[in-house]
Amino acid sequence: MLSRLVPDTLAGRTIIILLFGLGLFHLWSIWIYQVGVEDLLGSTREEQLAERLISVKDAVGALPETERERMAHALSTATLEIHWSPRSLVGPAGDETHKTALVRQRLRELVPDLAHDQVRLAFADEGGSQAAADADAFRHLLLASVQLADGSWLNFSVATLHPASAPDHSVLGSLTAMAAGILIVSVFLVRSVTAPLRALARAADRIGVGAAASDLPQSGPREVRLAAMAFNRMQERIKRLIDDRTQTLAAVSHDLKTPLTRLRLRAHFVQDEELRGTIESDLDEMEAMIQLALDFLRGDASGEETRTVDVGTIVESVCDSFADSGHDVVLHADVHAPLSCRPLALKRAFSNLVDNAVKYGRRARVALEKRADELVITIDDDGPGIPEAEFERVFDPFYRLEASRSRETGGTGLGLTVARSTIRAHGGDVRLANRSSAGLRVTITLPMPPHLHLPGNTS
Amino acid sequence: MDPEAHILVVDDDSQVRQLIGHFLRENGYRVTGVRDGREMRSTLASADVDLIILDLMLPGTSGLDLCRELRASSSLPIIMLTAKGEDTDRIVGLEVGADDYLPKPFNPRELLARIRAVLRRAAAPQPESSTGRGHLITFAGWTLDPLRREVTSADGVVVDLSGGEYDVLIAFVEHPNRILSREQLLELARNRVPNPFDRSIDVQISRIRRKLEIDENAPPLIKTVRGAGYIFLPAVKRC
Repeated sequence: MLSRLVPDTLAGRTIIILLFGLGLFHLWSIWIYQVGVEDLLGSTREEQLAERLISVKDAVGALPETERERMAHALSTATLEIHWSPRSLVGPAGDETHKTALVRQRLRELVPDLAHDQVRLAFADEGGSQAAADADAFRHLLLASVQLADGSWLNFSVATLHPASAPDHSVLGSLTAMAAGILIVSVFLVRSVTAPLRALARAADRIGVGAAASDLPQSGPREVRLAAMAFNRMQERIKRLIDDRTQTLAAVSHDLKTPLTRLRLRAHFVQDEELRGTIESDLDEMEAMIQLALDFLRGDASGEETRTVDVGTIVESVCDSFADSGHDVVLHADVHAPLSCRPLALKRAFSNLVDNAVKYGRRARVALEKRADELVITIDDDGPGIPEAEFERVFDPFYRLEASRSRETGGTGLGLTVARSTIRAHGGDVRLANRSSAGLRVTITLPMPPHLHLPGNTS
Repeated sequence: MDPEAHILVVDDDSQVRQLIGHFLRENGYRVTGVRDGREMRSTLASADVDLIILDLMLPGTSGLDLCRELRASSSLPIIMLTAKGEDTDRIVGLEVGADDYLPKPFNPRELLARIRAVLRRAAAPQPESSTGRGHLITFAGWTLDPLRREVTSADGVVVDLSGGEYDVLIAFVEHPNRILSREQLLELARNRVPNPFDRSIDVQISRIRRKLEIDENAPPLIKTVRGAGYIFLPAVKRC
């Protein structure tokens, strides 16, 4: 449940963490701000208030009663209203609240000579005030009554502007804008930071899929650079390992050619013609296997030149040569299809597939069809077909459908592997299907650019 | 064909050398076997040699270098042997001046046939040898490259021909506008690369037609002459 809420990508997770951190920071800073401003405003106000209380009390107290209200009025400011009255505005000290107690304590600290009974404090909205009929209208109005020597009262009303109320919206707004800005910038930054990781994944995917893997650029943050470095070193080791094996096997296959040459020559001196025939066909088979092993090991690195060749004639040559050696292979096509390709590799691929058909399916019916942008070659045989579950596995190197039968029919288990990797290297594919009647259908597709023509072949 | 032709086999594998020697002697040739370039040079200095069978991989000077060296001073026929068998090796071998090329492991019969063909070509004094190397031949919009043994269209599209088909085609190209009987064609083509599975001349010709006579409106390349054989119609140019 939770895991579904967590984003999948590193970038997403980083942004979520950032968002969470920013949110916390945001809340915290608002709290700090409020408390700070309140503290600051509160303390200066209380100090000023205490001083004013003392000075106004002294000034007004020294005047005759008729002058007192006028002087009190004159001493009033925008935030501090002062009136002289025979009565106290604030009730007796009995209904002291927590808040007023705090203010009283502060006042006493600042002006120790303000006697307890001489000062009455109340907040207009908190009751205890006789004038506070409408609590809302008098919110945050601090009321103070100071008793003069003759028992009359000086009533102060102090507007204690709520410290956070004004900056509230602007601070929240600016913080939100800042957070949004940081988020937008960080989305791009995080994505760029994780880009090398995505490159790493793509490079890892490419390993072993043919295309020569290239070194990863070592850029980005340190961890990613380290990963890229480690990856490049691993790639180097894998390449060396593969190269060593390939070279060893290629050398062995190559060195086999000298003893095979001797055997061929020796076979020629065998008087028994039947024996000579079987020895020679064994030699043919061995040579074909070595050739296949070399093809497989070379993979795409055959170094064969890419040329534009009429693939139709390649298919014809392959079918003709099978037919000439006594196999039941028929080509139904009169198609000319110029294609930029590696002709020898392609010829071997076709040859392997036709060979498979005649080995396991007794005969091959080959058809060649030119479509808008691809060449489709189908090879049908009359064999038992292949269970669909095995369609992918038969292309694995050395995989054999049925060991006993395969051994009898020979083959290295590399023919299909080599064929498909060659066709895929040409941008095409090999697909298998069981025909409804009987037998297997191998479909080869090769992408074909439409602009090449043979002389006179403009149709 | 000179049955007493003297063939020099240059191969560092003593058994291969002996076996080739044995085989060729059985077929009526005189054979000398040497193991490297140094021995080859001393043999050439002291005896008349008609053809050299040269292995590509030799200790000391490589077969390619020896071939180049020989070509600089003589036109002695050379057949290269190599275990590499890559297409590029073949081209390089032919470019340094070898007359033919045979990948190991080869069929002894094929070696014999190539020796015969090369010797016959060397003995033939006509300008036919111009198809031997380096000259392109054009006919009816096609270009034939004797070095690569391949035919390309005007657009550079290569047509895949089997060895047998190529041999019949080159026999035609060397004798254009002349009626060639099946026997003549067989003789001209067989001396190049025989294959136990080679079909009759008629089959080879029908395959060549299928591969090269693409445009139905264009005049045919090869015409059948009833009761006599075939005639190659297009004008042949060398360049």
